[in-house]
Formats: sequence, structure tokens, C-alpha cells
Amino acid sequence: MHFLRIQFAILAWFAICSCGDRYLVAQLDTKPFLDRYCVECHNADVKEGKLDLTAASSLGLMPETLDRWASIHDRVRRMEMPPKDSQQPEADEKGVFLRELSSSLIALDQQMINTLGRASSRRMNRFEYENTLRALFHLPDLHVREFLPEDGEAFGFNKVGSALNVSHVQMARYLQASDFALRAAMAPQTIRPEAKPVRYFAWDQRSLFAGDYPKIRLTFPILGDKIFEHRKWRECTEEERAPESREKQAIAIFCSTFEPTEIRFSSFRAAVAGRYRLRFAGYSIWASPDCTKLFEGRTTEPISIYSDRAPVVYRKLGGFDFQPQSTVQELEVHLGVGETIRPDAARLVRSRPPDHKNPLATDEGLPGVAFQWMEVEGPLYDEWPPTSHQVLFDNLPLVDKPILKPDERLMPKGDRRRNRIVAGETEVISAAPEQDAARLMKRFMEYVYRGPVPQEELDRFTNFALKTLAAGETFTESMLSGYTAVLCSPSFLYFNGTPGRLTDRALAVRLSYFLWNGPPDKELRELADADKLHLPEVLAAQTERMLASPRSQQFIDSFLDYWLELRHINATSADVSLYPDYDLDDLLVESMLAETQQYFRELISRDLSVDCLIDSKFAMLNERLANHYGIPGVKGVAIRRVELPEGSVRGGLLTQASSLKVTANGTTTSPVKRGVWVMDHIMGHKPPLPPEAVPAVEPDTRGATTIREQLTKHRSIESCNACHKNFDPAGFALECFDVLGGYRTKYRSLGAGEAIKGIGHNGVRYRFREGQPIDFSGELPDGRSFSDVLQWKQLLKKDIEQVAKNLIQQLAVYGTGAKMRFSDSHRVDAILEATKGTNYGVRSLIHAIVQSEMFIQQ
Amino acid sequence: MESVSRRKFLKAAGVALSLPSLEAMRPAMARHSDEKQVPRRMLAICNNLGLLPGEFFPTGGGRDYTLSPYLEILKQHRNDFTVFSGVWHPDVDGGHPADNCFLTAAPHPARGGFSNTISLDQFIAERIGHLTRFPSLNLGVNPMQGQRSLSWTSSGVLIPCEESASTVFRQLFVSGTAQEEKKQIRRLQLGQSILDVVADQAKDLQKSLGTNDRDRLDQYFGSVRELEQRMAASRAWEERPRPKVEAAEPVDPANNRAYMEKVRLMYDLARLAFETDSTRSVALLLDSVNSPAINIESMELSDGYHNLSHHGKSETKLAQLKEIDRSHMRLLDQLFSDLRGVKEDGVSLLDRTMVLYGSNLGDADRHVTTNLPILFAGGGFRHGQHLEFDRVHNYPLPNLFVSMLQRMGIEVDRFASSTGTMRGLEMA
Repeated sequence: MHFLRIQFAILAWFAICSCGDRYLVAQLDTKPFLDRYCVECHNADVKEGKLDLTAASSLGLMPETLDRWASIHDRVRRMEMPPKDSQQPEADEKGVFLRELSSSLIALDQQMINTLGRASSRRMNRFEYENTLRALFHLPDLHVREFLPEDGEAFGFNKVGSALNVSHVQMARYLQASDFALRAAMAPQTIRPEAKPVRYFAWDQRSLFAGDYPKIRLTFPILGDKIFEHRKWRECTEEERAPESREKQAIAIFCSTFEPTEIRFSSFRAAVAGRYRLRFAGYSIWASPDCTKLFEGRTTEPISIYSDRAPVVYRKLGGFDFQPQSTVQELEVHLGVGETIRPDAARLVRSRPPDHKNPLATDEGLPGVAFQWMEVEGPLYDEWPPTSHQVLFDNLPLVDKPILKPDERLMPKGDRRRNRIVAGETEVISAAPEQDAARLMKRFMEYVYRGPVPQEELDRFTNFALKTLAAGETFTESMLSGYTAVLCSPSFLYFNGTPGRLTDRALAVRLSYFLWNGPPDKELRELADADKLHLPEVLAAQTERMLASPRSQQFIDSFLDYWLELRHINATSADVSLYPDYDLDDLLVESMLAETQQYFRELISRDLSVDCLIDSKFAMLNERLANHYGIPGVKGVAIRRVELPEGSVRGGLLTQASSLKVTANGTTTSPVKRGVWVMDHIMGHKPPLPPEAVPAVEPDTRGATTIREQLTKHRSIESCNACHKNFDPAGFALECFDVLGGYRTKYRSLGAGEAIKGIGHNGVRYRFREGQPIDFSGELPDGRSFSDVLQWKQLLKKDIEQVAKNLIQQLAVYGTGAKMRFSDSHRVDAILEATKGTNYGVRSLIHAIVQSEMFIQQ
Repeated sequence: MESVSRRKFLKAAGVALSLPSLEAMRPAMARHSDEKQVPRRMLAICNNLGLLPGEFFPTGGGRDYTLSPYLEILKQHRNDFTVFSGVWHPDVDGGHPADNCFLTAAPHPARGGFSNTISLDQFIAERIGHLTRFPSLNLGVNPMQGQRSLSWTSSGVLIPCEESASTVFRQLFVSGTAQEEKKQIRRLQLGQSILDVVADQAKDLQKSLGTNDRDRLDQYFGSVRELEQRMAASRAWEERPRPKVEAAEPVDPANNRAYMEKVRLMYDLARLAFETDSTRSVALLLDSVNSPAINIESMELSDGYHNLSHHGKSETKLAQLKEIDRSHMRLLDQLFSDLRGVKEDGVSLLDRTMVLYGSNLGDADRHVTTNLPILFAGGGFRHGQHLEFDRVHNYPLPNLFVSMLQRMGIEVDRFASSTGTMRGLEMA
């Protein structure tokens, strides 16, 4: 079916309705309105904004021109057009124009939705692919998304079909990723590995005896209250080294884990992938300036735990605090084959040449940490063979394959790991390969394809596995090839659907990839099979259950990654010359990301109003962030809810360090960039792209002029000001925050200003200057003015309905994988109406979206 | 006479291809008349201790710049290279670990949560690797195995450097073991049959879908077919004999102190690989950090290479470093001359080979990862210039990678943190 293209010489509007293969055409004459108010600029000669309303090509209303007319409608409605200095239409006249235009647009848009569906078919993105395999195999820590190329983005998200392309490279990567996942799912050996706790003492770790480095990077053996000189521990007596002294032994360190002081518990290495319980014993210490005398710690010290897989793949597993008294801290983690554990006393100096100074050292001494031991319990399995293995091979008998040795080229010479066994493999034995292949393939495919599978599809893949078997491969390899094909097949990779109301099964999939960013679980599938999921009360109960599940973190993280662009949090780092005090501060950046993720969870769990996006009386903080924000009394690395002091500039999403970091470039802040970000992501008014010929306004790091002065000059040009007046004010208000979201009143500079000296977290002496004072005031386009960020937030909060509307739209694009359409506006209005009572609570919004026609239609 | 590819010719004739009579054979073979078929190659070299900036960077910008003391050694090739200043890989910091990112430009290599991304040579191999027997070669001189490499997969896995020139020589010009070859053929066959199965399903699905959805599936189907063709091409290589060369198998020096000799052997090997069109993408890591006090012709060195690099402005150390750097430049001069001397379709190999030489450190003494020393030769660009960028706010080096990829006929407009193509660098 296709749409009729009709172009008329006289301007007329057509609402098109389907009637078999013919169309009913309704006419609407808007020519008088356009002639009077628009064509003076939008004609063939002037073509203002590249729009010619007299051209034949722009006359008809058809699918291709719908977006353009929708934009004309919106700009007239928002009173942006005709421009203020032109003749304005009477209210009545405008009302009629908008009403009639709107109903024609809705009619056409609805017609398109009925015919083509609101969302087109699309493939999974790399996060969905990974989460799907994780759920499928019950391997919550399977890493496969790194295999796949970065996904395209449309309407702000990685969820829309038109941007999710497939190339031959993508196909090749699917083959690699699925093969990797399938092999990771198999039982590594026939016998359940022992999970008895094993203790790894710090004194036995070679990497805890750092090499021939400057003193600041050294490690020092401890025995009770005695501290030995670096490498002199061999001088201690037999008795001191005896097993009974174990509990008194520790290794002290006064710097963090950073090249080349690579602290690892490397005598442990995960022999198989799986769940492990790790316990760490240690405490914080204080030492005399020459590190020869040991005292009780004066601080608690944050310890980050990373996994370390040779070569150079690190992953954060968690964190905790060491106290002045020895404590045992426990983490439950998932480790991959060959991973070892790398603790990092993150607050301590990351020593860099040429200075190797310690910013935490005083005349009295310096803080450090002492590691005693690490205990490992695992791998922990709920059943044996592992669930993931049973998904593939059920309970067929297993034999061990010859054990593999690690690739020697991957291990540094002299590394003891070179000769260690890292992983085994098993082989599945089938006495009746044909029957087993058919049975296993059916189980596997019904699970992977999220429902019953037609016989011809089952045959397709079973026959392939059997053909491979006949060609001489083993039963195991043949089945794995068949499974690989299933995991690379379009029925698995693509979400397809027919226009109209979603079937219950399709609804389960949509809901699940919305709130879990992964596949439906058993309960959802059963409700869908019973055709009950679409019932409003069932849908609501499921939404509630899914949001409460820990799997919803996958939704929160991925939604924020795109909505707020948090995925770029590490894309830039603080400039070493201007912000030496932030250099290499991983704990700060990790904490700011966690803050925003936990904050959004808090809004959902407590159904807090969207005005918390603008402002709130609390924040989600740990000690590092609280120090960064200047909020006293928060200790430790755990993020928790903290009530903010009266008059704090924090509170809300906009003044969180993560938002402020992703809107700066590491060297300077730009009110333009931050302002555009606020208008686009929070207020839902995406500003037009800047004109091509105009150079960007760049902040001056020499400190001669401020960005405000430059922008004032730029905005004296009316055509520039037309857009800048809309977004600059938000950026001006946020100028009180530096590139990492620290509060400031003056710009830093490399040229003029008062010199500030110190020693950075990187151990290097620095000097920067504090230059021009910052003006935080501004005026909104409607004339309301503010003097600082606090007042600005209050003004923004008055526009709460627009903030809610934008969040609905962002969630709807994310949840449905389709752009917002003209005809959606009344559905969005209905959601606003339904949630007004909760003052637009975030959880209420999600509920209303799930029940909305946008969501339950293809 | 009917044009035949060189490979077909070799197979049919079954004769040893003797170098340097390569050029003599050329007229008998198809000329690469279509620009798209012109073989384009890349050799990317990273010396992870860099060069003394004061001796390397020239003065004056543009085409009339004044050669620096180091570039003076290369002066006969002045019009065959471009030298850059004021460039960096954005946010690739942390000192030594940045060498792993020289071809990936993944930010913050020393950060706790770091994982690398795909390197330029592998990116090329994925796209045009099927055109040659080896999609890419990853070489190293004294590499710290398991810790350092220029070559990384998209999932951040290190591809180990091959450090024995003789092993690589045998792989290139003497057959691999029958078992290895059979295994590889089997693997590719299996891959192809998997693709057949999913393509069949796509075909069936297309019948039941609407127009929009069909377009999506068409794209899937096309990609599957394209990958299949590549796998078929790779498989075909396994069945063809390897080219024969007159050059003798190199002898690997036993001692890591013979660093410069190893570098020379690797340069020769890269040239031979290009000359026989065995690969079009070579990465070479000169792991100076992992090298001892090395042998150079003119001087006895007092210290290990790494220790010397932290010279702290000591005159005796600087004098030794300069001598090392000059040796590097002389080897590079020889490489350029050798590449210039080989002709393919009447065009010098240098004009079809992009040689990227540089470092992840701008100043090894201070572990600075800005203002990287970068030299870029050959490959069909308008060279002979010094492209100067802001020394305070550096220009992104990944832009050069985008220009290189485009020169290779790979249609991309970004790589890692690039912001466009290299400003001021034009194709010849």
C-alpha cells in the first residue's frame, strides 16, 4: 500500500483517509493565512530558513512533508512565527488555522501509524544483545558488547531502527560474540570446582613488593607495630615469618595503584569464570615522614577493587573503606577466566614524574593503608553443571578435554602465571545425536526466540547442526555451530511486528526491553502466553514488579547514558595545567556517575516529582563527592541519601557533577554548550544547529576576556541573539561550576590573575592562576531575571509541566524505539493530565507511558 | 595479452618470483587503472620513548619550514613526508601505558576501569584484509609481551607482537603447517555455512514483512552476503602457494641490545611484505621502554634506554639520547629509500605506502602525552610541509587516521576521538 501524492496549484491541505486502495481527500484552504503572514519571507526569492511556501513541492500534505508542516504548526503555536516585529494574526484567525492544520496532520499521521506502525522493525543494540545473552545463560557478568561496534543514534537514543544498521563488520562481530558467549556458558570441567575459602596473604604477593622506584611508590612490610624498610623484610627472624605471625603481617603502601606500582593479589587468578566471594583484611595507617615509624591511622581510606585480566583489561568490582582498626570487608563479584584482583587506595597520591611529591604528607607524617590478606571463596554455583551449560546441553554426559595452558606470549617473562593452568574445556557425549540435536535445539530456540517456534525453523537449525556433524565435527562443536547461527539469525536479532495493537508476546518484549533493557523473564512470558499481560491492572502490576527488581538498573544506566549523555563521562579529563588538582582522580569520576544513577533510582522508587530534576532538598553522596561539593559530615565510599544544608547550590540533576562534566570539555566551560544541553535534554526545546559560516565562541584560557564578554558581543547581532537568548541564560547560571562541577567564583587562567600553588593528586607541583570573577546572572527570554543558580532553578521550576512533558517524550522514545510524532501530542497531554495529581511523579510517568496507546501499539 | 592478477600468474607459472625483477613483470599484468583498485598500504611505527623534542621539531610552518637537526638526516626525502607539531591523542594520558593507545586513541589508559578499543591496523584489516594473504602483521622490537602492543581488537584484547623476524619471514614466504592450514580452512567453511543458514531465514522472513521492515532486513541480508564473500576470499588464499623471494631468511639477533639491528630487520620485512602484496597493514612497536642499554654504531651507552630518557637535562645522557635518535632517523631514511626504489605499476612503493612514525610521548623525560612527535611519509599525499598546530591546545591526531583510512578507500568519517580529516593534508 502506498500514499497518494497529490500536488495542487492552489495551496490546499489534504487529510488522507484509507478506503481500500483509494483515499478520501478532505480539503482545507490555508492559503489566505500563509499569504498574509508567511510568504513575505518564505517565498522563492528570499527563502528564509530554506523554506519556500510558494513552491509546488511544498504544497501537498503527504508523508514526506508531514514533519515540515508539523514544525510550521509548532512554531506558530509557540508564537515564534511570525516574528515579533511582523504583523501578527488575530487570536481567532490563528486559532482556526492551528486547529484545522492540527486535525489534518493528526489524521494523516494516524493513517501512517495504522499502515506502517509507529515503530519500524529494528535490531537489538549492543547493550540489549549483551543483556539478552546474560539473561539467557544466567551469566550476569558476561561481557560481549565490547565485541560489537558502537550503535548509531537517532532522536537521542540507541533504540531507533533507522539508526541501527548492520554491516559485514557487524556480522563478523556477531559471529565472534556469540561463539565467545556459548563457550563461556559451557561447564569448564566435569567435576564441580571446589569453592572452599582460600586466603592469599599480602606478604606472599610479589607484586606487593614494588620494584626499584622513587620512595613515594614503594611498599613496606609490616609486622605488628613494626615497619620494615622497603625490601628489607627478609631480615626479619624465622619466628616473625612463621605461620603464627600471619595475622600480624601486612604490606603498607602510601600511594595508590597506578603504573608502575601495580598492586595485585596475583597469586590468585580465577581458574574458571563465575561468582566469587572476596574478603579483604586491612586497615588505615599513619607513618612518620621517613616511613620508619608506624602509628594508628588518622583517616578512613577508600579502597576500590578492580579486576585485572592480562593484558591491561581492568574492571571496577566495588569499593569499601579501611578503618584505623583492622576489619574484613566482603564483596560478591563475578570474575572472568584469568582475572586477578587489583586493590587501589584511591585517595592516595598517583605518583608521576618529575616531582614525586605527596600532597597528603605533612611535617608530622603521611597517611597510608595496610593490606593483610584477601580471601577468595568460589566459584559459587547454584547447581552443577552450571545453569548456563544446561541451557545448551541439558544433562548429557560430559568428559574433560585436555587442559589448556595460557598463551605464553600473553604473560610477561618471569611471571609465574606463565606455567599455570587457566581454563579447561569439556566435551558433551551423545549416544543418540539425531534425537538429542532435535531436542536440544527445540529447547534452546524456544527460549532464545521468546516463544513457540515453527517446525520449519527448528528443522533449519537442527539440520544444519547434523550436517556439520556429518562433515566430521564433534557433537559439541556441531551443536555450538547451530547455536551460533541461532544467535546471529534475524529472528533473534530483530524486533519485528505488524502494525496495530501489540500481541501480548510482543508487549512482554517491549516492556522488558524498556524497564530491564533485556528479555522477558518467565513470569512475563507466562502472562503473555495466557493473553493477560495487556489487561491494565496486570500491566501495572508487572511494571511495578519490574521497576522494583535489580534488573531495572540496566534500564536506569542505559537510559541516563543516552538521555543525559553520561556515556561520555570519561571522554574528556580535566586539563593538567588548569585543573591539576583533579588530575587522575578516578574515584571522583566514578562517584559522580554513581550519584546520578542512584538519584534517578531514588526518584523512581519514591515516585518523586520531576521538579527534582531541577532542584531537591537532598542528594545522593559519598565522602569524595561531599568533599567536592563542600558538604560536611559524610564519611566513606558508599553512596547514601544526604539532606542538603539550607541554601546549597546542589540538589537536582542539573547541578550534579556528572551533568556538569559531560557539558564541559575538561579545559573550559561554555555557557553555550551547557545551555543547549539544558534546553535540549531537560526542557525539550532542541535549539537549531548553529549556522555553518559562524566560528564558535571559544573561552580564552589566558584570562584576558571572559566568555560572558565574548558572548555579549556575539549577541549584539540580532540573528545570533534570536537563538542564544533561549539557551545562554541556563549556561550563565551554571557558570558557577567548573569543568568537573566544583563550585567557583573566579575563572582559572594560565595568564593573568593570582597564583595558586600546590601539589596535585598526581604528585606534581602545580601553579595556576585565578583570574576574572564570574557573573552568574542572566535573563530568560521572557524577561524574568536571576542573579545566581539558586534563583534560576526557582524560575525553571515554574515550568514544571514542560519538564514533565520532555521526560515523557524521552522515556517514550527509549521505550518504544520510535520518534515522537505529531499525533502523539494529545497522548502526551493525557499522560500529563493523569499524573498531575502526583505532581508528575517519575514512577507515575513510567506507569502512564506503559498504559499509553503509544506503548501498546506497534 | 589478457590481464591476469599477479597471484594467478604465479600460480599458473609456478615460478619463483625473483625480486627485484618484480617491475619487469609489471607490464605483463593488469595495471591498476581504476583508482579504487590501487593497492594502498600502511606501516605504523611507534617508538614508545619518542624523540628529543628540541632536536625533532622543525621551525617555521608550511612548505618553507626549516629542517630540524633530526629531519636534516631525512632531507633527501623532504618532499615525501609531512611533519606535524601540536598534535595529540585527546585524553590519552597516564605516561607509559599510552603506547597501547598509539593506534587506538582510547582515552585514559592508566585509569582503573580502562579497556582498550580497536586499533587502526585492525580496523583496516577488518575492511580490506581479505584482499591479501595476511589481513595485517603486528610486529615488535623487544616488546614486553603480554603488556604492550599497538594492535588491539574491538573488544580490547591485545594482539601479541611477533618479535622474531625469521618467524614472520617464514610465515610470509614459506608455507605454514598443513594442519594449521586445514584448521583455518575448516573454520572459514563453518563460518560460511552459518551465514548460509541465517541468510536463508532472512529470505523467508522478507516475504512476510512490510516495506519499511523489508528495507531493514535487506541490509542484514546484504551484510551476510558481503561477509561470506570475504570469507571465501580468505579461504582461497589458503589454497594458493606463497610468493618466493630472493632475500635470505633473516637471522634474529640473540641479544636485546641489538635493538637497532632488529629495527632494521623489521623495516626490511615490512617492505618485503608490501612488495609481495602479502599484507597492506603493518603495525610495529619499538618497545624502547623494555630495552636495555642498546648497541649503537658510534657510541658506548652508559645506561638503559628508559633510564636515559629520564635525562633530567644531564648533558652526558642527552648526548647519548641524541645518538640513539639519529640512528633511528638513519634507519628511517634507509626505509624511505628502499620503498622509493621498488616500483609497482610504474609507481614507487613509497607512493602507495603510508608510513606513520611517531610516539605516544611528547617528552619522555616528563611522561608528557601532548605535543607528540609525528612524521608521516608516502602513501600518495602532497607532502613536503610542516603542519603546525597549537602547542597549548593540541589538535587531534585521530584526524590523521581518518585521512589515512580515506586514502585507503575505506569510507569512514571518524575514528576514535577524531573531529574530521587532518587539516592541511591533501591527497596527491
